[in-house]
Amino acid sequence: MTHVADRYDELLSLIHALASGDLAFRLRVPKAGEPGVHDDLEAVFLGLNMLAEELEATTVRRDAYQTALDELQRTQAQLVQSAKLAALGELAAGVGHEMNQPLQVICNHIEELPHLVEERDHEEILRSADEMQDAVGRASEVIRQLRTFARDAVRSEREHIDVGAMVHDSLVLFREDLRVRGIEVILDLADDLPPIHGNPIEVQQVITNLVLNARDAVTGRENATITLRTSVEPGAVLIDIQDTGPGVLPELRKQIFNPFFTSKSEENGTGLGLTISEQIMRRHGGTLTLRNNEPPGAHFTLRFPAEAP
Amino acid sequence: MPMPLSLKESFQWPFSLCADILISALHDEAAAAANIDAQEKIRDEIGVRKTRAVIDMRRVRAISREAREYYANERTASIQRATALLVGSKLTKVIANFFMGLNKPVSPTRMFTNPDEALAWLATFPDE
Amino acid sequence: MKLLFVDDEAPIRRIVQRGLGRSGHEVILAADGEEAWEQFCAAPHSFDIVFTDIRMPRLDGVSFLRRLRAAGHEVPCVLITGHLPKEQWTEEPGDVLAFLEKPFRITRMLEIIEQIAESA
Repeated sequence: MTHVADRYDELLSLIHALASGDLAFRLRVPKAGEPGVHDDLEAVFLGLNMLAEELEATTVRRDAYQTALDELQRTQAQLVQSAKLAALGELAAGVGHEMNQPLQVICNHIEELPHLVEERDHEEILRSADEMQDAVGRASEVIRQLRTFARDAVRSEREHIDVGAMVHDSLVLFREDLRVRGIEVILDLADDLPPIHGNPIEVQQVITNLVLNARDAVTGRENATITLRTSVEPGAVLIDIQDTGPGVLPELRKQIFNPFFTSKSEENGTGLGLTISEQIMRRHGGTLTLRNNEPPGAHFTLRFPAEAP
Repeated sequence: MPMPLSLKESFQWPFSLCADILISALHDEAAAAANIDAQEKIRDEIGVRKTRAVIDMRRVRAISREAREYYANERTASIQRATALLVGSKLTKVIANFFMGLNKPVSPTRMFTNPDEALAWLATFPDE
Repeated sequence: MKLLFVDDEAPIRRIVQRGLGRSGHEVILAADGEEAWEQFCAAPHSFDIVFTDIRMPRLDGVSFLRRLRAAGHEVPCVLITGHLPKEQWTEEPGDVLAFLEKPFRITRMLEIIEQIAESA
């Protein structure tokens, strides 16, 4: 009577095959009743085959999940990239607006210069020179702001950040745009704000994101106003960005920080701005919160831990 | 419905089952589907909503994974009220255990070596 | 020619008035669409060309032009752009003779005026 013990070699070959990744290996199951084959033998051999089959199926499934996961991660990376490009587009538009005005002034004054010289209108020539000087100053300011964005955000080190100055700077690239949209900006910046420790590009990104959201919320409305306020609490520095827009519906308050949630149309919002902003705040040991709509409009608060003195 | 006394008679009984179909060289998904088709026909002929089935698998040699999954899927569950698996050898017990343990059929399923006990258990499920 | 120039930036208004004035044109200024409308209606048939910026507070350029046309005025209009590429405009400006892109030169304005005068 052949028992399992007589067929250890075959068992071992199955085990070796599975271990080496050959999950398709199967034993030949002898039939009980074949000359001297014990009941146990066929049961054990079949059982092992069935286990191998399960193992194979599980592995296939796992591989499929892994592929799907890789795909998802790739897509996610693409979407983040796309969000960055969208932000870049906004930036480019902002720069375009800002540069138009100074260039126009300079251009026209230069056109005029020959005439002024011929007319010997010295007073006017000097005045033109002043205005061109101012225009160049404005243009330089815009360029300076651009340099901040040109720095490599990932490799950037953490440093002391003057929050008030940063809030101020965030607006430089959008001043024209906001003005043309008829949006009033109220700055309520505290004196003697302690510096915070952080990645200036990321912090800039968060503030800019909130300002742009506020801008989009109030554009076209009566009394379009964005208020930026800095304040200090024990151990924390706060930036409040408030707008007179429609605010956030109560049922959506939790969802707005979710990836891909957006109330803007396809071209305008990728829905990643708040998600990324919240992540950045967390990395800085701070928080991004939406306060209640009192008075009506969205009111976001950025809370940074203050530097230890 | 009157209760039959022997397994032989059970094949004429409302709740099947056609053991012959089960025995194929490789019991694959197609065979499983065919079996469930047969059960569905019998169910319709008799006019019950669901069968209480004795599956005589004493001569089954092997069953594919796909077939096992089919027997545990929603379609099967929608036809079978309860299933008694009739086994004999250790091999058939291994197969039945794999089915019940890994595939977790939705409708009540139990293993029996004695056909009368199988029928008695099935009778505890009310007519539907 | 008598021109209506509408732009919300004072330095630009000033320099355009001076520049075009040198070439003998009379330039009436307005800081936004509403003021432009008032200026135009004060002497509706005296204007030869209307130059207007698009983005201005109170009443924007496109809306001002629409109002002009709706009132039946057929004065040639030039739209000054620079904020958005044409593909991104959400509204059709309607019947406009020419577009002037920011930043623009006074000489370019003079060219356009010349073209409009010739075709009249």
